[in-house]
Amino acid sequence: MTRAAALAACAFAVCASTARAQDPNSRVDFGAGIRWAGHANLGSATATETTGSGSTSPLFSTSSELSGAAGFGVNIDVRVARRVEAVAIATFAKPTIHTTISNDIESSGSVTASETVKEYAFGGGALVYLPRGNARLRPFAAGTVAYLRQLHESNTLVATGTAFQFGGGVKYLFGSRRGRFKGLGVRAEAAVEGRRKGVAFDSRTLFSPVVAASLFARF
Amino acid sequence: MSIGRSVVIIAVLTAMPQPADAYLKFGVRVGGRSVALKWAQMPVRYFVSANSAVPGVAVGDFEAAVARAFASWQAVPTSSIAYQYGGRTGAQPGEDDGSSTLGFASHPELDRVLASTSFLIDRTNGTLIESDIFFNSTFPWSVSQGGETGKFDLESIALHEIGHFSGLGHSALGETELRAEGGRRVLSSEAVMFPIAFAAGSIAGRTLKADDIAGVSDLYPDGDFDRRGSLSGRVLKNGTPLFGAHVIAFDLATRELIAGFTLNQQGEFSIGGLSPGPKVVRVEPLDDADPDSFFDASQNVDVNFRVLLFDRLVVVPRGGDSGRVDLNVVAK
Repeated sequence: MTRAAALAACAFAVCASTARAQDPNSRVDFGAGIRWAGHANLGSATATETTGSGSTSPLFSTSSELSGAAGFGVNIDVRVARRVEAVAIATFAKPTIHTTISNDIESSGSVTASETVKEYAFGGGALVYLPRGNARLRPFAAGTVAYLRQLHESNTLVATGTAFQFGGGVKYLFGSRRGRFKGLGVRAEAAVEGRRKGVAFDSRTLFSPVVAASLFARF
Repeated sequence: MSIGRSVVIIAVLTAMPQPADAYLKFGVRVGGRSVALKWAQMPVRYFVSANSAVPGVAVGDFEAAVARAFASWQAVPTSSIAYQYGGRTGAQPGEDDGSSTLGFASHPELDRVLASTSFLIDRTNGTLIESDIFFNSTFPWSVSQGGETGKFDLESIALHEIGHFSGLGHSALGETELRAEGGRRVLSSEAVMFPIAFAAGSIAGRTLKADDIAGVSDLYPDGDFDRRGSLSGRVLKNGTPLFGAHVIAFDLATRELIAGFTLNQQGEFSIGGLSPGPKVVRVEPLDDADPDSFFDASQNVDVNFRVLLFDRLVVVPRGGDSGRVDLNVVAK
């Protein structure tokens, strides 16, 4: 470590300890758990050909959705005010795009074509504790914005976009301790997630419900 | 330099022995291998026969209509093809004079041929030296902006022929029905390069489609065409490779239809010029036009199979290929 880096590290440590000294309730929650996002309607598209009059004639129709999928998530919640925490999140899931193809001009019945997508999201936001609750069970409202990175099945194409989420839930602390490690708890929440761009076949914002549960350690 | 004049467009078309991208290109054998026929120098100069007038279409009208058609091809942003009008000439289409000439010619014996394109080829390297287009004056023609009932739209037909002039073969993106009096009637198409024209009076063929744009861009790539990708694979029937199957890729976001054919005895195809993203893949027999509109008559095109809607979305990467997909069709 160079002298400058060492000085910078010391300065940071001093600042951190100073901050902790000023706020005895300062704390950080490290959480990891599972989440489930509901399906999102990707819309319909019809393959058409042009007729001699200039109108269109359907060749076949499609209707697509991004399936609901379970995934994993980690979060770090840092207390920044009495009732407010800054939130950093990272999630992973593998939803499937299902496209139902029907009304083919030369073929009866329908076929569903699928493709699985690996989906990563990294972002941050804020969590606000509501006035109700007690020291162990605290309801909250939260909102996050995340960078969405979706990798198509063949790992050859990336779609990026934005995911934002608003919702609420509760944190329940099993017990509290003095010292650096303050205890374990569970967090449960429900939210609505909106997505722009990423895997999408039009410019609409896609909405889906999200539920999540995680175990957290409080420091 | 070995030079040979090929005959009219339908007869000259031969399939490339390797999968070609997006559509059929004209192939010529050079040194034992097949290369795509194309122009080496830009802009490609063309002339109009001074005798190009028929009832309702003066020479000036003819010049304006073909100029609009050339401009449509030249406006494709992902293609470098460019044309230049050289003026009127006393020559007729079909004369081997080194000048590419467009004009009317009377061919009553070709009672189903509206127009035809022929080539003068440098067989040492497969480049085009001359390409002539004749429009059959036996038929009634129109240059009216909104079209005219009972008359064929010159600009639409010129747009198709200039596709050939530039090196493109036929596309099979279209639906037809047999007519009681013989021949076929086009119900719909999604490529100017579909081999059968819309009925007289229609002006629907004045606009290039995604399949046409992919084709000319693959022959003369420019702009960000290299950021487009391809979808390749094989078509098999009972495990046996199938020649001449028509494979369509549909983009769920852009709604573009771009297609290709299986072009060798391994049943392989490659559809190029595709926007990145997942595609719906459909395979159909080549039964909406005569197979010899697309392939040499000696080729055995199998049309005895059912339409297949592939049960996977195939992802086309940016600037790359999907990786081979096997499409298994079943006999009717």
